[in-house]
Amino acid sequence: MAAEGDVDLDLEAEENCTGKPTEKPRKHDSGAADLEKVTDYAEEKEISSSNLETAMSVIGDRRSREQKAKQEREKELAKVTIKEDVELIMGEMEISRAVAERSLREHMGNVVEALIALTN
Amino acid sequence: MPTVTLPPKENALFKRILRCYEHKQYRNGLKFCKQILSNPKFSEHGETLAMKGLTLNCLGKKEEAYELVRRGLRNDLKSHVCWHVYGLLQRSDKKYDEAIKCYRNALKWDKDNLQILRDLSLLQIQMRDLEGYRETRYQLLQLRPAQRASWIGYAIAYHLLEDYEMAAKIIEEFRKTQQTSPDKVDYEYSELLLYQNQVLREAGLFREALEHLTTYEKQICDKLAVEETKGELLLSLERFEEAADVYNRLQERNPENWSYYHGLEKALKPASTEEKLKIYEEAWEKYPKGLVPLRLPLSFLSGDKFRECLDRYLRMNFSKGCPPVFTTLRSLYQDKEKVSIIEDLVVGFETSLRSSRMFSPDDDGKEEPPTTLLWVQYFLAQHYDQIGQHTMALDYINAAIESTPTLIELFLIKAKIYKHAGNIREAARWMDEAQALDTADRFINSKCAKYLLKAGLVKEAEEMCAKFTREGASAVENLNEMQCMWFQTECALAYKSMKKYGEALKKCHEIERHFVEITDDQFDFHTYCMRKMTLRSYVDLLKLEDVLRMHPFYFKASQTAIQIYLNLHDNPLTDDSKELQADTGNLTDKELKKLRNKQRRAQKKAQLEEEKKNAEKEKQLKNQKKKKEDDDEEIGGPKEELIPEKLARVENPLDEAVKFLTPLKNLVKNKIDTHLLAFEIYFRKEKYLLMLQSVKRAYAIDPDHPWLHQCLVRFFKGVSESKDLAESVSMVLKQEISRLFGESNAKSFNQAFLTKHFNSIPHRVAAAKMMFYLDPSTQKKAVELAIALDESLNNRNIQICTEVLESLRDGSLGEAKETAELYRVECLKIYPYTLAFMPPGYEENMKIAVNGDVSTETEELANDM
Repeated sequence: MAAEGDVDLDLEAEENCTGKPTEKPRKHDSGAADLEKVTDYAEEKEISSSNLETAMSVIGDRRSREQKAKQEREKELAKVTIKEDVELIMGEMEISRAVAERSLREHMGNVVEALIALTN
Repeated sequence: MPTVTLPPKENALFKRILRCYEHKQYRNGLKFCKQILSNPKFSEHGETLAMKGLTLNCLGKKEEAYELVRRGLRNDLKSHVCWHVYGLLQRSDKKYDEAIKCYRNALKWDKDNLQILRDLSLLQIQMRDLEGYRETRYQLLQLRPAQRASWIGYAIAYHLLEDYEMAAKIIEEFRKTQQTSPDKVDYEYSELLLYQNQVLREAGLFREALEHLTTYEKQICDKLAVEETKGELLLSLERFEEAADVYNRLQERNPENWSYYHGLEKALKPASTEEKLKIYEEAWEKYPKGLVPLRLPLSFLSGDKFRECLDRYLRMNFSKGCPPVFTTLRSLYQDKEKVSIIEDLVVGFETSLRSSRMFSPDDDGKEEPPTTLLWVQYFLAQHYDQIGQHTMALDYINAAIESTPTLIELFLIKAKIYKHAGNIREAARWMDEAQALDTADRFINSKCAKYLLKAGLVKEAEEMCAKFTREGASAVENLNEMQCMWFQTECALAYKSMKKYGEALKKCHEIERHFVEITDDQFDFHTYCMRKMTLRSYVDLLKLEDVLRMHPFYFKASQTAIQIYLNLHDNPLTDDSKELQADTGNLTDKELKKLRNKQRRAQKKAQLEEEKKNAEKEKQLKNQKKKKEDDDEEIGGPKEELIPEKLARVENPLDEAVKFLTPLKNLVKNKIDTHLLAFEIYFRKEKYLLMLQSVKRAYAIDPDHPWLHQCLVRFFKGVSESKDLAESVSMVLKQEISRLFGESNAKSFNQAFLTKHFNSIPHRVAAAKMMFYLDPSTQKKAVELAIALDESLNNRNIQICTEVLESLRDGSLGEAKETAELYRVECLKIYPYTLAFMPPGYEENMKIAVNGDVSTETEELANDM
């Protein structure tokens, strides 16, 4: 009948308009798409300014001071240490060579004191 | 510099390959690679090969990727691109140290390459190489001072190195370069300002921080943060009147926030309890419906005032029908006086409501609805449960259930009471009743699963969880995928008590892997957060990741794993399971044959099931792989599978235990258990200085702890009997022991401990065990000490009694099976509900029907006949 035919046409038109061919079952949005976007490529933003120079100088000054302080510290600590003591500390306390050496240096090479401090 | 430079056409193609990689258009990238490589002049072009490998890696073809990249690198060792790509590959497999080496090599050939420096900085912050990070970021800043990220990265480097003043300076310089209009809402600028303020506060520059806040207030979007920070700063600067104003405003905004009341107390500085109470009385008038202003005074009031305030609080809650009201008061139960006031008041309510439907005989006014009585009885059940009177508790909850048999909360509490009384099976049964009342409620479902696991019913628990997990995958697998750690922890504990150590260790390792994953997950946020300017959250994330393994989930898993490894060290498993071997000693030939047949059949069945499971898994993997083929980035390499048998037969259980222990030693130093577990491990390893370290740390927390005492006794004995110790080690031991403990004779130390703590059962038990350990001839006296149950003794509870019973049975107090039986009977009289004290055979007769399922044990028996 004509009426039914019209109804059919209408339904078809509707479907085409929505553009969804099949109905997808609604799933919980676990946010995976958003997480993916985290690693998307994005251009870095630039600063447009003329005051970069003053800003940079503030920093440069600090840097040279830091470098000097670091060098001095390393010189202080680079005292002669006995290898066997380091091995002993490493074995007894199950720590890395670096930590063992550092602790020995901080106690002026005194193994007993270093060990006591490590057991605290 | 690369050895072969490409002509313009190929060079353009190469640039497009790089672009495609950046924009994740992998198939296009491969097309361009093919175009370059198909030209015979450039078929071995190192950099193109490397890029092809990198693209393939993003598509999941790992082995091919590595081949190509290595080939490319071999063809062009001086190319920074090749080294860079190799580094990226290693990074994607979480081989961070290798990756850093590759990046450094790449930088050798191209010192100022931005991309490589950026990637290096990401790895450095991931590995928390803060000094290195700062250096790299400085280089980036010098190369590109116009880029926002350079400044922010540099500032963050200083912030993390705790050089707050420098960080604040850098941010200020950067802020000055930002141009924003005051009438537009700029969220990123607002976040930058708040971050800057945070740095100023951490630097202790409170005045500057407050000035900064007031200057830029209008441009900050997060108004609540502004107000709360202002309040804190004013308190730190001791400008109390202004602080009081701020907290009053905040209180208007949200009268239920505890911290605003604490802030108000600090600002108004009340001299006495009455003045303190006035703050809350004002709040009662302003916010008559507020719960928090009624609850907070209960913490500092006492006596009659406490009772008055409590009366108001409880009436309001009971009339309204508020289930968690007991939970809100639980923190008061340390105070015995308050406990008795509460009991008195609420029991009075109950009696009065039952007879006259009103809270008190002196009330006049409306009658309370019947539900009020219900909530009062519910409260009393929890109250008596808390103070250990389980029979009273059950009476009240059963009365409540009788009047309202369909309320889930009631069954939940009934289950809890049984759990505390020591009967986990009964508890599981009632929890199952509760969940059956509403199978769509995930909370009660999870609670039920948890109790089933505590009762050792692992399969039933899995079926319970399956009601809510994803279809198509097994519940256990899905729960592992979802990092559902409470489930895995309880599973581990259940398997451990069933002595299925391999399965338990598998769960512990799965939990450990979750923590590794959570640590790895932060990688992408290093760039993302700086781009989005959400710096406060970013720094919070970094700080959280630093202390991640402080979380109780990790602690519990580690504790379980360490205990299992200690067990495996003491009683290693052999090729056939130890239980089977023990049984075969007493069987006749015929029975032996039957047993072997049964074992063979069981093995075959297990094998078939395993094959079926593997086939299922293969199928699932195939389906998953199909989905992954399109543009999916594979994260990390395939993980090595955890096989229970292999885990339980590990070569060196103590070393495995130390792996779990190390994060605890760094992050959970305040718990004595960490140090005592550490001692147990080192005791078996005979590392005396580490034993010393453990007892020193434990001693600082609680010198009288019973377990610590046992460790100390064994320690002293070990030290006195040790030979071949290095001289310095002996010196350290002698010095420290005499400094901390005075003496080092195990026997006299034990005797002194016993004398000091003669009236406390847990301490007596510890001393008794050590008495036997040091001298087995004292067994009779030791046992006598341990089994005393007199009312006058302190700290008598279900846990310690269960422990004593265990010890009587397992030999740590010598051969004492008969005494154990007598002890059990005595305990049952005191604790009638506890499973551990029930007569032997009780548990077999008690089957639990879960959702109406019939136990499968009868079926198995039929199959074996």
